[in-house]
Amino acid sequence: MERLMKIDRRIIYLIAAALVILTLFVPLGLPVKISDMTRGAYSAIENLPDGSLVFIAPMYDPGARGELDPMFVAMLHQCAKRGYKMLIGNTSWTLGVQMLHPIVTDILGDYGYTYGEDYIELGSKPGGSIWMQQATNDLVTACITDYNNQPLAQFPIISQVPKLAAEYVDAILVLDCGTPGAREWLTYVSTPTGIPLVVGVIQMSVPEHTPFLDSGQYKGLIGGSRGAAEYELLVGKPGKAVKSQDTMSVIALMVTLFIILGNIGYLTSRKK
Amino acid sequence: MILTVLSSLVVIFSQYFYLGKQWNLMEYLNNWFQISYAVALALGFVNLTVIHWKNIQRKREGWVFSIILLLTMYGYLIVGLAEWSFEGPIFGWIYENIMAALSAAIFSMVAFFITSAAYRAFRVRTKEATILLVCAVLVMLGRAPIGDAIWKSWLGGWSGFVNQWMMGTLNMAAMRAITLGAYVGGFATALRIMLGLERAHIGGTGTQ
Repeated sequence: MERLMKIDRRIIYLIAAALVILTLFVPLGLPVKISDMTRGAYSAIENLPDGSLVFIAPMYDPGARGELDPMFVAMLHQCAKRGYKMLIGNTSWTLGVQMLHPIVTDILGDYGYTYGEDYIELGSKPGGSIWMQQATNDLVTACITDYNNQPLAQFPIISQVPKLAAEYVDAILVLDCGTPGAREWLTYVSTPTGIPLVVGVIQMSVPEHTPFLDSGQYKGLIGGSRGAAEYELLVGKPGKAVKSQDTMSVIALMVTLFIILGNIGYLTSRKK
Repeated sequence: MILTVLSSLVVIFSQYFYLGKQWNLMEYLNNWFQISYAVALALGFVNLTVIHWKNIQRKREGWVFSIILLLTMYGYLIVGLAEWSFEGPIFGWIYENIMAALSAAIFSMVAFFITSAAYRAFRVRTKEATILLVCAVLVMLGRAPIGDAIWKSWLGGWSGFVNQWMMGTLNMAAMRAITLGAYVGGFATALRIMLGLERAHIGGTGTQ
């Protein structure tokens, strides 16, 4: 029985890898129950007035794309379905914009969006919270160019948004995986300007962000891969996050079983 | 230290005083910060080069990695400058097939470490450890569809309650306390730096 306490970590890795691969080929198809938290985030975006303009800030890089890409994709679909205009850009997450460019082009192209008129990619700007403050004063000065290094001032959509202020921007949608992230957007943009903030975060960040949802400072919060799957279902575009839920299930079950086995071994050895 | 005190006074003046707002001091400060940020980046680049060049010259432990680092750093810089676009064929290829793939791989490896760590760490050694274990398992299962299926068969209509109560009540109360504590601590540290009581940032002995 004591052996149960000392299972080689390589065996655990192997079983985990096997289960991940297995669920790719043999989906369990367990239903994903939609939580109030994700439904709230969906409604916050859905209930914006027609013709709204939203700022989408994907504040992440390839490390977090497994959890946040599905949210970003579903967010683009929801905003495009509702006909919102979009400003897409981040600050300090330089490695993120490049991987998101094809996603933006493909999805918004399918909805017939015109670059520079209906949406614009700002790229990644340096400065973090300082850039955010500058953008609340003057967006063109803060950005200067777009993702393609073209002068920002030439695009018609920018004439509608001289700065990040509640009179021009109806919501900020932040996808967060670290610093700077949603907290900085809350402190430096949402709170001083009054622009509503909807946030998507990786699973391990959910506990630190829930108090802001409860206090009403976030208008919505989507949490981790599970939240992304729920959000995809609400938007009506089930994708990678929904597919990954089977993997989440078997891994959670596996970890639980290993914890139980380890404790059986521990209790047996203690009795001896 | 005088510079630190003066800088902090200027920032406070720009944010909290009528004249500071009128003169738009914060905008100037933000611009200065952006310029300093760029200079610091260049300085970091030079610093990294010097440190790793010395590693290579003196053949310190792991000097081969220093060669790889410098080659990668300067190589990618040169490619970026030559192509002058994110979409450049070589720059884009390196990003898509090396950088993005490695970054995602490192992050995904955490799942394996956590699996192994959870198995080793969660033992019912004490009452506190047992509570931690039970909460961790409940929340973990609650975030996966399998958890919903299990709770539904046991608890029926109360299936979502366990996870939601833990995250929405227990966790939220604790996180609020931690966050408030951290901010109060940050404020106290800022005040100590401003008053010259904390000098570690200028190479001092730390606290007084």
